[in-house]
Amino acid sequence: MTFDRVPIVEAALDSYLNSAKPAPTLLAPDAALCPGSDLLAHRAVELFEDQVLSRQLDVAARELKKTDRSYYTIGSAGHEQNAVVGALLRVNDPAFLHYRSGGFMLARARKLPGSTPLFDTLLGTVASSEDPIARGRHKVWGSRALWVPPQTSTIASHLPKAMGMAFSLARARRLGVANDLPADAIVACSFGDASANHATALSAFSTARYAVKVGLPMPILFVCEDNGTGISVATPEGWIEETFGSQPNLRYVLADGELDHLWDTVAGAIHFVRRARRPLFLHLKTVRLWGHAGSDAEQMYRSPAAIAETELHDPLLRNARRLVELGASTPDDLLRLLHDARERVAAVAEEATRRPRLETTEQVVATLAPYHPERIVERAQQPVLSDDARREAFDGHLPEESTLPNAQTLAGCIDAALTDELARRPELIVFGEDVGRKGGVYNVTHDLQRRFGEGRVFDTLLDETSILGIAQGAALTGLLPIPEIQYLAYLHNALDQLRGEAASLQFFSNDQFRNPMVVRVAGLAYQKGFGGHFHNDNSVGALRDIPGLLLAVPSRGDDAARMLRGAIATAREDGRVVVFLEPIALYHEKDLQADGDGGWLTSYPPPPEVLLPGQVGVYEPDASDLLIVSYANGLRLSLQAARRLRDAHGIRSRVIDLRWLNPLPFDAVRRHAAECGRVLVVDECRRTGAGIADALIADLAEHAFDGELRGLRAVDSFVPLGPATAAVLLGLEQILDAARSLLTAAPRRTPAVRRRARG
Amino acid sequence: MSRAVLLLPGAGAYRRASLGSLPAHDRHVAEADALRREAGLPTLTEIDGAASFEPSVHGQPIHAMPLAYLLGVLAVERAQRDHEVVAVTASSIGWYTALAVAGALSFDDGLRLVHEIASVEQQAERGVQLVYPLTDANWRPHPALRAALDAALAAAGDRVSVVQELGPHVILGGEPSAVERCFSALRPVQIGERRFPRRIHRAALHGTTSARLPDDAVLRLAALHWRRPEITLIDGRGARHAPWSSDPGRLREYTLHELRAAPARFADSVRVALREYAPDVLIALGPGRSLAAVAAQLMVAEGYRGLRTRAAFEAAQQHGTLVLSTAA
Repeated sequence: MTFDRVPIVEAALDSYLNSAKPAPTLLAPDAALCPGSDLLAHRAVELFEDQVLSRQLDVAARELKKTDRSYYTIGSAGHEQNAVVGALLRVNDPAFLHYRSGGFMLARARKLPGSTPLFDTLLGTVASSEDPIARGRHKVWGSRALWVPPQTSTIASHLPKAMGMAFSLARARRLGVANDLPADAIVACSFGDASANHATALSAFSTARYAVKVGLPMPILFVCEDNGTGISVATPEGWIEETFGSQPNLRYVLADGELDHLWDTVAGAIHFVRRARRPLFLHLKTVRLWGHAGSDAEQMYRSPAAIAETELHDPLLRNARRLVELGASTPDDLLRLLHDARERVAAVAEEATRRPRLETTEQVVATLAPYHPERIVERAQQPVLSDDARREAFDGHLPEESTLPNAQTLAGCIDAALTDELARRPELIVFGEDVGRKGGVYNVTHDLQRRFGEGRVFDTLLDETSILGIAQGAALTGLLPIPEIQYLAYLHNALDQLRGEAASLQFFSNDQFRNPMVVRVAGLAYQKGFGGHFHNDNSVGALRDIPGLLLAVPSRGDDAARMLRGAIATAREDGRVVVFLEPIALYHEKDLQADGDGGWLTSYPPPPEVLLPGQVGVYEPDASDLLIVSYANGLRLSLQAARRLRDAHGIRSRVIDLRWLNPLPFDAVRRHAAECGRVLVVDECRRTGAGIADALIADLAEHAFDGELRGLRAVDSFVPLGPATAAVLLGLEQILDAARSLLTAAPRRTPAVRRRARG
Repeated sequence: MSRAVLLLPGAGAYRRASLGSLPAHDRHVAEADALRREAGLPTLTEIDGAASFEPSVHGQPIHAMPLAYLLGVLAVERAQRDHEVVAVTASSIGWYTALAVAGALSFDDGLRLVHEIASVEQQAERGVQLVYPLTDANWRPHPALRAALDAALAAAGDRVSVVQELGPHVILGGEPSAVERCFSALRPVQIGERRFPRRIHRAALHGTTSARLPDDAVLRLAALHWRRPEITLIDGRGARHAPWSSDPGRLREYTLHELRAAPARFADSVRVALREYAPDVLIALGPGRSLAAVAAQLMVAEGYRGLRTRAAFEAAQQHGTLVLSTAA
């Protein structure tokens, strides 16, 4: 048996058409393909043409690969019946597609005259910088005009956001948020049978069903393209039907059989979703031809007989037979169609290879993290609410009008800042576990639901993946989501929703799609009386690892209000994904140096003041014996240490609060370090948790800082319960010890620095 | 044979230089003349054979349009001897010729359609349109001209709109007084030897209410026999009508209604042709080289075959023809 099955499958279709006899009578182009079917004869041939073109795109990708001119050979061969779904959905039904969607895309593009799907797809295949969706960054199915946000779809991680968008359509409309989607739009989302097992997929199905259960609209068409195989592993016979065939609140429809039957089945399914605003699981039977990808040697894990048997079920062969037998076309016409498709795709592929590719780093990262601080600050100024309007939002009493100065906690300031932002930005929604009625487990969203209603502030089910999926989907409808993840440790359950999906959207869509959001996460350690790792996680490595993600970590109330506004304005202006990590232990902290001193309370800064990355907080700016660099709980400890060093030893320490951990304020740190000569970095995160100490110390070293450097980090351990936490977390004494050792170390500073330090 | 896409010109496709170009003893010429006699009109052979070009005769739609149609059909027949024509598209009302060339209408029906349209044009109000460029003499996009155009359109509100998008230039149409105000408002510019904005003394053929075909004309065209084309047609929106899958009823709808109701986007048609057919050559029918010049600029705008400047295009054109201009 020959292993290159492409010519064999191609020849089978030719052979059928060369030997087939035309039907005795031909159908009129506008006649039904089969009595009772809504599929017209000419439309059936158009579909077939789209399927053939999709197949030829696969052929071309493999041909180009032979001469190293293409970079992606995962194809759609065998899945082309998905063209029916593409033809029956509207171009403004958002579609989140999996990677075998050639037929779907060609059929959808046909509905928008002027589309050029062959060229566009091949530009992606050859990684050209002219690829209209990803600009050479990946081969993805996507198009702004066709409302197909791109994703790699390899692990079903696009299902939660598709569900989230279906969830958000009606909400966005009710809140008056502008988008280009009609009131009866539905969301479609496709994936393979093996992918249906991913936790992300199950999460999306579950939340879709949950929505129905609680009476919320959820107009989503889940399309499971079942080819019976996950790379090399066969899906057990009947698995999809058994698993999804009778789930409550999820209608199941099997789509199999002849083209006309498929058409009517899919049309009915779409009609149900559109009319009932409920989810439907469309089980579309397909086959997989030519292995998983061009590099996959299918013969290593499937018998020749099994491979040949699958090829007999080639949907193109089946459809050609149907069209000829029912008289929608003649064998000669279909041969001409085939000839035209092969010639065209080959010619277009050649043209695509002549197009430029990405060359420089600047080109690659151009849309990874757009950032326009001036415009962000401008954005933060607007809209302005009158004091009366604000007073109404705050039940009559503005938070900055407190009779006591410096009366606000971190939690109180965040709550107030959310109130101000919700009042002036109608597109803003706040949601998560317990954020609604309860007002958050730490009272940070206290009263928000009462003030702004359940449409804008709401509780979700307990699934972090779905929370972040809703955030992405909501953002795509034009809402500005502020989801909450209850504890930092819970984020890891759903991290890929940020890493692989939300943070990559601007990159892979060349900034044509955006999912701006501010993800509030309660985290870090040092909670009194509430211990254990799962509520005291102290690693930000997983967040700092995500390209383009902004990470804000406020330590005190006034900073938090300004930083939150900066985060929201950045999300709005530049489409960015921002994580706003709130130190739980500081939420209600009042004191700094001694019990009852109220040193950690602040006043509430009214809008529109903002703080953006790079704007560090500086304590004792005139001090220069020692620079302590920290954030969050570590900052409070550092300020305590600075007081003790001054009182006990006369050492004057300058302390800076980084405020934003991604991107890090390297310039500011370098500047202050040069002025002080001795630097202590106090990082409350785990030693190997990719905390900021390593990055800052490395940066200073690489920039020829020749003073004394120390870094303090937490122990590499999960955080234990009770007093044992002190054994792994940074404490005041460690900071004092490190500071003292720095100050007694032999100086290595340059004369210039020394002079400045003395002066 | 090289794979070619045919581009048919729009209005004004019969000029002084076209005189005397009809061949003797040609089947189509004879058919056309017979139809003209039936309709009580002078034959095309007579009009083409006139000693001199008389705008009052040769400029009349009832003569000029059928002549352009006939010359177009003949030119395409010649081109097909040397090229594999993979698609046909047209600028503006060249679409009527394209239908016959592609086989969606018989030659006779195509001529009947053209005559009916010509009668409509003959009776149409004079009107006015403006041509305005968007590229400079070196074919580069000219942002200042685009800005001037946008400003003039914004000022005119919905009384003036772009009725044809040709790529290197646009045609504006609408209420005559508002079009005239646009003429004064648009920044004057000289590109090569021509000054812009330039008036066309004819009402818009697309994209305005008055461009729609009157109901009685549509009724008189009810007898046309619409067929599937033999060659793929790319219409003025960039949609494809393939021999094996098109619906003649849809072609009829498009031709009699949508073609006139919506702006004609020749730039989109050519873009689809280049991107989705990747032809070896574009064959732009004459008279003159104006359509070929537009096609060349569209090719450069696309960066087709890596050609991104006028100079690169002209150098490549010398070595191997990318845009072939053929006199109709």
